[in-house]
Amino acid sequence: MKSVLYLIRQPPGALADETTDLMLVSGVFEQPTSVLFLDEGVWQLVGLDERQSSVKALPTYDVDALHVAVESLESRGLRLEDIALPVHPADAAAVRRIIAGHDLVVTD
Amino acid sequence: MYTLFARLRPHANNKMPEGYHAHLPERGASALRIDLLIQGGPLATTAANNALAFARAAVAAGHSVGRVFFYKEAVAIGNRFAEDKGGLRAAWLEFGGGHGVELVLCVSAAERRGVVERHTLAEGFLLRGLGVLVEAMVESDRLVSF
Repeated sequence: MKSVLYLIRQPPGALADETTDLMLVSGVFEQPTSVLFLDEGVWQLVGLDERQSSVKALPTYDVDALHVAVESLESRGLRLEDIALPVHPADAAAVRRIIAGHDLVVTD
Repeated sequence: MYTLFARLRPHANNKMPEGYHAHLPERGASALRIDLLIQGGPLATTAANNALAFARAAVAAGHSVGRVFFYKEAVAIGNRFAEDKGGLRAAWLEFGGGHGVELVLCVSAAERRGVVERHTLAEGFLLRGLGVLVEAMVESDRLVSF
């Protein structure tokens, strides 16, 4: 089975939700699925308590790992503590490693 | 993306110049099955134009395009009431028909945008679930996203 990485770079919204739907289907199909939130995509992880978002469902749909680029968080004045989900922080080297470590990278 | 497109761009006579891209498989020898994912809308972006140019170049280089999956705003391509000003829909239909390529719109993304079977769906496009896209990821040799 090919491993798939979803590279999320778009801010939250209706279009972002469509990518989340795809990630959920991908997880259900038992495809090894990980997600990396980068650039504006990190906004999808904050304020999850205050709004409806299917991002919250990712850990329960067999999506293996959620990663977040710490540089993207820091440059936006955000901290890991602002994220109400179990996410792995990734520095620039880790971001490269994660992207290279998957068979397939799907952009949003 | 553009790098990959440039690499696959065939010479005017449809033959790669000598030594141009030695790393590409010989025509037919180890041809790849390539599926495409298009997400950008036809009015706001050039995603579907770029994807079509890529698909033509891939076929010219000896690869096959199995399935093209239109998602998000890209499903507007399959709305038969939307004016096809640049001829993009017609060009996709011609490419799909000529090379046996399935042109698939995500059924839920299409429904969200008013593209439904027997009403607004243009002939030549299929409505399918996201599972078909996940299937494409598994079955194809490459999935290229636009």
